[in-house]
Amino acid sequence: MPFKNRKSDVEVELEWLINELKPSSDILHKPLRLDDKQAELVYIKSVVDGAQLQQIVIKPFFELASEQHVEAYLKSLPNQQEFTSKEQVLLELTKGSVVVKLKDELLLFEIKKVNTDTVRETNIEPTIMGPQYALSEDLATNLNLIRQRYHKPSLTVETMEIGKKSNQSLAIIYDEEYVLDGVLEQIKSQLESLDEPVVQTSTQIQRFINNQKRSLIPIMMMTERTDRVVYNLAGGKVVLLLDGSPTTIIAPAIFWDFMTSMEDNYGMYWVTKFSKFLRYLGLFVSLILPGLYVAATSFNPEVFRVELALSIAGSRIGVPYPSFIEVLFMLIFMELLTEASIRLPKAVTGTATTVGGLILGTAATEAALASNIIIIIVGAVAISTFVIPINEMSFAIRFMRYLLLLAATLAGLAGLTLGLIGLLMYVANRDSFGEPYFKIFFKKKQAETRVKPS
Amino acid sequence: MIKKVQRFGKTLLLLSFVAMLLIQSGCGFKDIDKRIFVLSIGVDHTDNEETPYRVILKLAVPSGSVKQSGTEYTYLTKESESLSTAIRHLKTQTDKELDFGHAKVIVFGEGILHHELKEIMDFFIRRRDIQMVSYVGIGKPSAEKVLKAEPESEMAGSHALFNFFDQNGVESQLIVTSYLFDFRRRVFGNGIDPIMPVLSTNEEKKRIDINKALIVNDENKTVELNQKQTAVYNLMSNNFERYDVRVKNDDQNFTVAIDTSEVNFQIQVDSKQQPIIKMDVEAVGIIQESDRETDFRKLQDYSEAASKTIKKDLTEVLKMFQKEGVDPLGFGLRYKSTRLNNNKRNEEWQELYPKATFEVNVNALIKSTGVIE
Repeated sequence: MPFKNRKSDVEVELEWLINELKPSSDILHKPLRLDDKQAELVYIKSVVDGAQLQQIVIKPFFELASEQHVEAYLKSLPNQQEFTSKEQVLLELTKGSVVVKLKDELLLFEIKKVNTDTVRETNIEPTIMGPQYALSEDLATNLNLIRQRYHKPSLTVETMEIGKKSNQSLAIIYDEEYVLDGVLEQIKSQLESLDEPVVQTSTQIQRFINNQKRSLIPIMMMTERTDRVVYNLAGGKVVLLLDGSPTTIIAPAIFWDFMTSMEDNYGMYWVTKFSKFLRYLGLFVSLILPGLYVAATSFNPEVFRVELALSIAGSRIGVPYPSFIEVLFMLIFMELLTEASIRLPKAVTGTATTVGGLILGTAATEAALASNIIIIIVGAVAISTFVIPINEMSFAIRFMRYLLLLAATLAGLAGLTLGLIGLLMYVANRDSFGEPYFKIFFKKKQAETRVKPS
Repeated sequence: MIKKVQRFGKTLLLLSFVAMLLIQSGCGFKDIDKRIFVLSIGVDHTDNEETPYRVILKLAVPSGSVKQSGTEYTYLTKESESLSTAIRHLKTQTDKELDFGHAKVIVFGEGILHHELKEIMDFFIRRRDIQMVSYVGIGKPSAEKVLKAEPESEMAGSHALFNFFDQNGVESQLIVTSYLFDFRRRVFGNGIDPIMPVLSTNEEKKRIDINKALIVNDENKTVELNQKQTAVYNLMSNNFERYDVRVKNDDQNFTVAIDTSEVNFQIQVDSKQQPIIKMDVEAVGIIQESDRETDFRKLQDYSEAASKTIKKDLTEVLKMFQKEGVDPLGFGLRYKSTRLNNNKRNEEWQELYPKATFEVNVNALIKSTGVIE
């Protein structure tokens, strides 16, 4: 405690704090005085919970008999904070702390007012089984949610501040016993060297610390589900939680993680195997179907059955543009529709999809701008994209299929195959904090997430 | 900064090149509606030796809705001195690119068989867009008439000739299936002779019958098999496992439907004078038809009677092959392949084959009388 017993110092410190915050109108500097008891409060009104302040600081001050009593009472409060430097105090004030000057001492109390601590229902990754509530936008609440699902003394929470200007708190959560040290260190050092003024969401972190300027596939997994967080903590992964963001990110994450839904752990064996199969089928369908259509109609119609060739040829009668433009045209419209339904208010989304999907699709074939078959293909592609459980991966897949479409447009089925091999090579070449991205786990879960040798 | 601009410029340049590639309509990029699919190819012989080949292409013309109006067919015909010149001329008769990718049936007119088969086939083998799994057949009275026949059972969008051969549609012991790759092997290799189904159509062109086969031997001599012989050939070559036998006993006549069968043969040449071709037949079936009441206790007897009949049928056909000097089952090939090469195995076999005797062992098993007693 560097400020203790130096009267002039304490005065100066308080003065400095007030001056630093002065131009703001919501700064409050309030002296309390009764008989021979005196104290001074400094805080920012808009981030401090007034009622609580009244309840735990102001009221006891007037009720307690002497200054000694007040001091003893205040120092026993659980929300008292450490005092390290005046800069730190200044920062804490902006987060909702109160500075109390009592006798020759400055005391710091956290009496935050948080309006973002409502726990929301899952809406990014909804499931039928499993917990229905996700996270809130408040760090403390979120930590509570996670801790309440993972009762283990080795669960460690470290906090740090990121964002040169916004100074958001970030919690690094891991299970000391299982975490991979290398991964943890790498994440910490990258977070420390992060040089960004404002960090708003946890997904932004994943973009900043993935070592690549331009990346396509995510190497950290975003999730809002507490069960997924706990599942991954138990597997020895590191979870990053940013204050003000309702999603966490989990690292390291490899390709198969993104294809897993939490329900895979809850359902019956064959049921979950089937839904997993569907998901991978959806992955392939959404990746290759547009390219396959172009390859089959414009380069290699002999590969499929003659009936199919004739039926495609029949449905393309009168379509003015080559097949790849037709596919691109419909795909882009589908993407626009998807984008629109994300951005639109929920009430309008239904209308937009109906108008866009049904009317546009039918009208496009009626007007012979697109063949019937392409409508089926675009529909199948659109649906199967959403089968991929983690959003970021499905967005990445969404982009990748245009690369495959390009490859198929240039060289037919051969190009499509080459493009797929290329994508495979790209994905296999990546790693997530030292873990190979495309590693196939053939061992049992226990063997893969072994306890750290100590 | 300049470096950054340069790198960005490079990417932009690359991207614009790729984008430009898209507008180049090369020969590879032909949309499906700019192609017209050849479904079957017929080759007939003209009497004019100057232009001996008459090429007929059956083309499918897709219509907007396959379900309602079906696929219409159109035909292109050209006489020429070679197949490729004929095709080249035929190309000018349509506004679309001829696509041979789906040309899965090749029909030769009977008259063309007097020509060297190697010569006719060469074109089909060389062209990369004609698939080697195409079916080969003989058209009667001519390839053109067969191609132009439109059976009434032919449905929209599905070509009747394909259904005959690809085992998805009709399956019959009377249909010999000959693939182009196998046909080529049989034509070029010695020791095995090409065999093709005979496709015949009547005058109204409302029906195509495929129930006979034709063998061409090395000397371009043709032997036509009748229906029974065709069925026996299919059984012996393991082409088709089913076979119906009409058993004529003293007291009872019945028909056995064989549904599983396996035929193996060995060639034993212990003495040069008398090579023996041993054929083992395993067949399992049920009684399908009988003129008297059947008794399940006598299944053993029925089986023996059936075995005897099958043996008789097979031996007859084998002797006919031998007499005519044709070898569609590949006895010569087997002889060559199971003996050390001395460069004259073929000649040896030519001498041995006419002298060979056949030993057919039939083990027919009738599982049931086919009725519940």
